[in-house]
Amino acid sequence: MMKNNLEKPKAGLYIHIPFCKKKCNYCSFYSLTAINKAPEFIAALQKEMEIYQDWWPEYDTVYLGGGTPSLLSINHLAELAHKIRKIFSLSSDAEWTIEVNPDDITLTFLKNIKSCGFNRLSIGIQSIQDNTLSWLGRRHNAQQALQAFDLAKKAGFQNIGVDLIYGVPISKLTLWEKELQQIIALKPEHISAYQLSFEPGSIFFKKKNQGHIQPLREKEEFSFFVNTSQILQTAGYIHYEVSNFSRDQTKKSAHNQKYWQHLPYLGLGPAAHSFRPFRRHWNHRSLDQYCQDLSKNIAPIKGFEELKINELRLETLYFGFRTSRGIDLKKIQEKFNQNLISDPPGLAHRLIQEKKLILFNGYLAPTTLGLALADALPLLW
Amino acid sequence: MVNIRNFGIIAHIDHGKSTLADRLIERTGVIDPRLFKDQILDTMDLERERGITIKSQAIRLPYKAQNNKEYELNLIDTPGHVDFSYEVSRALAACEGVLLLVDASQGVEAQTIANLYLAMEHDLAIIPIINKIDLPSADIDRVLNQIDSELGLDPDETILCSAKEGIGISEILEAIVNRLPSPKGDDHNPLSALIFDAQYDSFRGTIIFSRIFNGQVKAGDEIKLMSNNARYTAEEVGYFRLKRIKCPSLSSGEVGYIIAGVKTVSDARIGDTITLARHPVENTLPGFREVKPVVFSSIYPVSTEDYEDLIIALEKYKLNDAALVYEKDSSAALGLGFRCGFLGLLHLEIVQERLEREYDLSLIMTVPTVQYFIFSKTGKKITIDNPALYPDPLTIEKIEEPFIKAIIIIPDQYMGAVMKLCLDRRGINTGYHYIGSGRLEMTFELPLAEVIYDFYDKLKSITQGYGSFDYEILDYRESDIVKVDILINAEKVDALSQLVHADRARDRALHACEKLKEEIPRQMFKIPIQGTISNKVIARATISPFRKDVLAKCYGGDISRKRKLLEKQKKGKKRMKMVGSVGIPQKAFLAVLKTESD
Ligand SMILES: Nc1nc2c(ncn2[C@@H]2O[C@H](COP(=O)(O)OP(=O)(O)OP(=O)(O)O)[C@@H](O)[C@H]2O)c(=O)[nH]1
Ligand code: SF4
Repeated sequence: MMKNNLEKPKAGLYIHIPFCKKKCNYCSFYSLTAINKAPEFIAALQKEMEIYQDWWPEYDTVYLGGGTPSLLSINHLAELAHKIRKIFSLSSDAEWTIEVNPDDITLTFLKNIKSCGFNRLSIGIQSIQDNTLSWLGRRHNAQQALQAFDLAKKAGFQNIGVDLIYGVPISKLTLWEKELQQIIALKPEHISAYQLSFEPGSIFFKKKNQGHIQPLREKEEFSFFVNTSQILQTAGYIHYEVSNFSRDQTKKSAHNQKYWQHLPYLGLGPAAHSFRPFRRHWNHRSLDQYCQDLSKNIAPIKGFEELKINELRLETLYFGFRTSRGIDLKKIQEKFNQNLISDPPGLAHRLIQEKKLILFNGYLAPTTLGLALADALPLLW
Repeated sequence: MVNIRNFGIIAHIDHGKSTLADRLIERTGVIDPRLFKDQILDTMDLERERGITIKSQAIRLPYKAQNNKEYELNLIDTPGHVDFSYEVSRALAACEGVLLLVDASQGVEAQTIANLYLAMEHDLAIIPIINKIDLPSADIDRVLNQIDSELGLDPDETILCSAKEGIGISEILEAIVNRLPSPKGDDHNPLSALIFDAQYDSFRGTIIFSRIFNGQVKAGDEIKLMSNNARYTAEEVGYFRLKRIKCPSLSSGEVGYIIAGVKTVSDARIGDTITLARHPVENTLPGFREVKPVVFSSIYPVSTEDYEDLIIALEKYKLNDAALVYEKDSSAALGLGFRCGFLGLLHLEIVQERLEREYDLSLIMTVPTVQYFIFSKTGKKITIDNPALYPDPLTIEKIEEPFIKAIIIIPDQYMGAVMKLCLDRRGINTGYHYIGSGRLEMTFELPLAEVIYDFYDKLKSITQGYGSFDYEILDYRESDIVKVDILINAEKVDALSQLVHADRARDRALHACEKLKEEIPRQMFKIPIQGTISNKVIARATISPFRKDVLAKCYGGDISRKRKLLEKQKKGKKRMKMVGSVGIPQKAFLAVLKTESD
């Protein structure tokens, strides 16, 4: 039993804080503006933790996402951090990330969450152009965004990630490149640069369908994507996943990699997903239902699936092509009995020849051109 | 027999043929008027579920005339498209007269004239009727004038009617009795009966619709079909009212049905003569022709797993459609399928639609082709209707293709446009003459291959619907026919090959390339599409690869959802025909087949 545990990889812990002051136009995450329900939620969440006490032996990442975790009071955050430590076994060097919104934070607040144990910040900057920010429906302006970064530094955070959105129809490629240079000058350890997407359930999705928003054409999207990658790589960042860049190997988001490598993660809070080999389950996408279940000490699970070998294979390819590390050919051969190089014949070589993939150290990995096509690649095998 | 009248209704499309028929049925009390509406609405379901046939091929209406005598009126239906002109001619052959219907606001139109000609060819008595007189736009005087000058019929004998409001119906019924001749014939003569239609019934086999010209037939008689001397025993005879009504016998002059254990409708050939085996008639009825397919195309299931289902569907469908012929075919690109012969393009479309709808199949049809004669240098003559069988061009001495004689009736202002259309289609104008004021009949000799595409649609559109068109096969003529192949991603897709005249090859190839480019989804790689003759490229198009296909975010929750999306895409790909690594959707095949670039 002991031995078995030792061999097990460490898990990630995700906690979904389902509150926002106001819904952003592009957002389809589950969140409510009813912040007054926070006390009830915090209580329910602690119950949920107790239910999952023995779910996995050890964790090495904690991620508070949302929603907007920085809307919670520092007392609530401290309470949660304390409870997490009490219930779950965490590595001493665990990565503790919290998402914050620029307009919520003060120096005191940041210092306080640091003393709660959070050692990594993810700041929702999105843009440093005022008109873009207001078009996106963000609450803050450019100045607040830059100031938030400053405060984070002052509070002593040494691992700061910023979230950005590009490909906004009202902006331009050259403007975006300028923004990007300004961000680079701040030297964040991590940058997530997301192409604006029109997710079902978001305000923009509706507007796009009604013809009020004209998304970029494929060619433009491609330029945004490739230029972003080139600029950040020139500045020394590693483009390690479709939308993610890190200053060095140690600054990749350890938590997000759990998702992409079929490593276990426990997701708590409404709409959160969990995975451990080889079962994925997800919680109710309703705060009320979530709280109600927990008041009866029932795990608030909405559904689950047991991954079958074919599904696992497809996901492995899917994740593999989205990360610059690529796909471990030996593993694919062992697990799924497929030689990606020779089956189907010629395919891999053709993609290599067209500079979409490279073969490196036994990995079949996407180039920047390949990353731009990452979601289409798995279907070719 | 003196109390029998056999008649049809002929009219230009939408002039009210069905409405008038309904009114006659209703007025003669075959149906309770209160039930009538619902029944009409449900015709299709009724027919299928209970074998009740309101719009049957022939319905018998009992009618007590003003002279207090009882009559038996047989209304015989006629289909209305040039593909089925032979069937129309056989239906009219079963009649002594017709009601010629003209819309009071539209006036005489092309099909009015074409139909009148058909009726006159059969020496039928004609009762002109102006319908829809209730319309505010009705212009009765003008139409009466047209009936006189354009149709050469007596305006004084024209009946005014509104089928919708029930006006003039009694007059029409009286006219049928008084102005149409009763059938001639003699019960004591040997049996001679015309098959003018046949339908399949899953319980009883083929229901033969027949007009008795001489003699008598009753259940138990051994009958003989004269075209092939096949013998059957008549199990049941009768006539149609709302459903089949059994009767002891059918006598000369009568119209009714015969059930005789005939397995498929193909065995009861339209136009054939039925007689009694023990006492046969000497001469067959005139006009019998073997219906031969003129347009050929292959049918493949989109999903190869559906092949077995297609076999069953075709077998079942064929039970009710004698005109369809088919045999096994196979394609490197599309797998197993069937080579089919049709009466025309409309027939082809009907077959495809019914197979897809009634048997829940997704089908791909290849480009339709006519039948060519190929003479080889060694002096051999072969007949081909399938591009796959086109021999090595070096061995060919000459090729002949079928020509038709086309008769086109139009208002004279369209003469120039019609002339251009026909000449563009390699036609030869062989004459024209006026048949009424401002109305022109033009004749052309045209390659059949040129009319099977969209000729009829084109004619309709350039004449704003006033052009009518009829044709008959003339002969075979030498022609410069080549085979155009289509290559997708350097692989030949045999199902897209077509035989075309050399002058049109480039246009057709280009058209095919461009349609495919529009319909084939872009992929990771560049996809070249080429049209070739004997491996020489004559047309090309390129599908550019897409450059970006990636979603920004992929975290915890998204994963299952995203994977399901991928699985769905994968399934969608499966439903396409894969040629190498390129998926070709069904609609790409249709697009190539459908329109022509002119
Ligand atoms: N106002 C008016 N409309 C009529 C009359 N007779 C038929 N119609 C209408 O004309 C249209 C065509 O009538 P149908 O009876 O379907 O004509 P049809 O000749 O059978 O048409 P196809 O079956 O398409 O050839 C329908 O909308 C009828 O309701 C009439 O006497 N008066
Ligand atoms: S983007 Fe973030 S802050 Fe905006 S609504 Fe969505 S979860 Fe809330």
